[in-house]
Amino acid sequence: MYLEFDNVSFSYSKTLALAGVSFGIEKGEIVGLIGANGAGKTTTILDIIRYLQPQSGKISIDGINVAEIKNENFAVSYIADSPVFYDELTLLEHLHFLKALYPGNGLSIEGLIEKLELREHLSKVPSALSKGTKQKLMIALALLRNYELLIADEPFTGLDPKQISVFKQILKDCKNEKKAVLISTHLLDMAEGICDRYIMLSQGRVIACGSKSQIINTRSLGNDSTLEQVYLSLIEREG
Amino acid sequence: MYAAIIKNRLRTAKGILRHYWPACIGLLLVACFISYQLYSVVMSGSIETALSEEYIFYCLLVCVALNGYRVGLKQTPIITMNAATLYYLYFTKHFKRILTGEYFWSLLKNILLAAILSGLFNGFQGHLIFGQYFFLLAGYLFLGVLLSWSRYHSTKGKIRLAATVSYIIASAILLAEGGLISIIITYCFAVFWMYYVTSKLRFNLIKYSKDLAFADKSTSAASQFDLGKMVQIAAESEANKKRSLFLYQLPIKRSNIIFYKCVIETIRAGNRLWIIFLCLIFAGFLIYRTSLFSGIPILGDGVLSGPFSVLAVMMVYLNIKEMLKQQIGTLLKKQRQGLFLPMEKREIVWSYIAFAGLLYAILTILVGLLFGSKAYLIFFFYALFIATFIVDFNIETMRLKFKRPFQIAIDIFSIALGYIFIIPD
Repeated sequence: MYLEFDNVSFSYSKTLALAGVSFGIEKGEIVGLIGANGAGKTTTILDIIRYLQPQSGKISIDGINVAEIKNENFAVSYIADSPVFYDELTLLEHLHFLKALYPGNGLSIEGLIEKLELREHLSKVPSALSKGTKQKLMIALALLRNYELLIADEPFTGLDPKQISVFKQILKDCKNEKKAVLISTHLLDMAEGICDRYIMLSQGRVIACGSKSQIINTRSLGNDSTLEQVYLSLIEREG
Repeated sequence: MYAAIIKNRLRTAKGILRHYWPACIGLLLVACFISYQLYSVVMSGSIETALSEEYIFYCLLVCVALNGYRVGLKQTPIITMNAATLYYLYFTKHFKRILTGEYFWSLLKNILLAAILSGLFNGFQGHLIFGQYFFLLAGYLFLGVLLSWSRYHSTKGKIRLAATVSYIIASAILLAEGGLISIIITYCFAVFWMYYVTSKLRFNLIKYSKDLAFADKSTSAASQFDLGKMVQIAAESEANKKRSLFLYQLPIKRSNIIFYKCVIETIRAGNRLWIIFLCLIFAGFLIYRTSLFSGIPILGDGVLSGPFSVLAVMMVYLNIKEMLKQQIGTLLKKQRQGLFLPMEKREIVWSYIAFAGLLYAILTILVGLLFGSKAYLIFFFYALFIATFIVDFNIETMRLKFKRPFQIAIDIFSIALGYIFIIPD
């Protein structure tokens, strides 16, 4: 497994957010992290990006504990649910900033501007951008890094249907380039269209893991169930 | 209708006065203090004392700087009115009258300023020098208004160039000659530009209405003391601010990107901040190296003027340090939040230290020259200050529980270092 979560637990003072979570992600697959609000999705992601440190268990990338990986070798790119930018840099400056940091990345700034339709916003600072454009900028910045694992937390928020389609294609391209993708989303129909496997979380525990058909078979659910129906029935069983 | 326009202006002014009277009184007190200092030191306590040639030249320099700002830097219109007046009356016969009224109002303000200055020049005695400077300055200052107004509306490069050339010629002759030739040339320019403004100028209506609407919104929020709206307006204005230097215009690469980001961030901290810093340094110079404050207690005291002067200068050093600390704090926080940087914290910290080293070197040379300090003392101060800066900056980026007491001690030591600038020969 490229990314491995091994019995990871984390709690915010007295609230248990993750209770012995284990799962793995291979390169070349898109995995959906599914769960209700407070299920532990964002905590899972924050543990991977080293914003939080798990109280027990181990998270490793390519067999190395994430805490021990040097920043230079940390091949993870992250699209946060609340966009993070440098307030004083314009959109174009953000792109050049990242390009200078990762000169080996083959993507061109011009190509990204065209693909994500950012041209008319190049000289704007983040506070002057709309929600959708901020999201597109986050995506562009994530793609400009050198990464093997792309993590996206609610990436479809604010995107119009055309941009959602563009982003889905970007994810498929990542998969074809043998990169690992982890998406956390509430939009189950979106996830169903692109994910190969799902990790379903509830109250900080993994309640199901695998492809949709695997989950349906192991839990004896209806074969024609949608992802939403599968998730809801699992939640109901968990009580 | 005209009465309604004036009433609206008065109401806005009343609103501002109602909410900001403490600030207005403060400004008035500062103005009185400065006037008193000028009166007692420069004019030797008598209004009838004419200014020396040297001080007259300084005053003329201030006028040239004022017009330079109007012609070259001012982005907002110099003639303003209510946005609604423009919107409802632009296509009516009333608009020309209102505009003419605004021109006269502007002329009147410049005449008043010229009268005060020329009065100061010759000790308020109505002889020839007064008349000469009064006509010259009134014409020169109003020329600045006309040039600024023409430049604001013009989209053509040649008008902008002509305005700049007119300003340079008029200013150069004002400083070099300041007599009859200067009056003739200034008035030739003023008449020409007055003709251009009244007959040829094509209003840039979209730009003007947008600027007036923004000014109205700000003034109205200020007069109603609507803090929420004022914060929103400030954020909008910040977001839409024109920027002249961009990160991608610099020779950026992985090894220097943090350094250049720091350059951009520091430049964008705003002109006002740098003007305040320069004023503090200049105040330090005036307190210690001139006799301007000699007539007043504390600041004019020979023993106390040194510490005050050092404090004013070191405030600049410490504020720059705080600004850089804030910048690196934000950068490191955002790195943890997802804006990953492929480098270790140590590398980021040293990029900031390199930038600070350069910035403080320029600042130290400026202060050292202004205070007339010896070269080896300037270098000694710089070496010690940078050493304390490095220690402080590293403490700032460490995860320590009790770092504040250490940092306060370093700040006190840094202020004490400022005494090196005033070590007597």
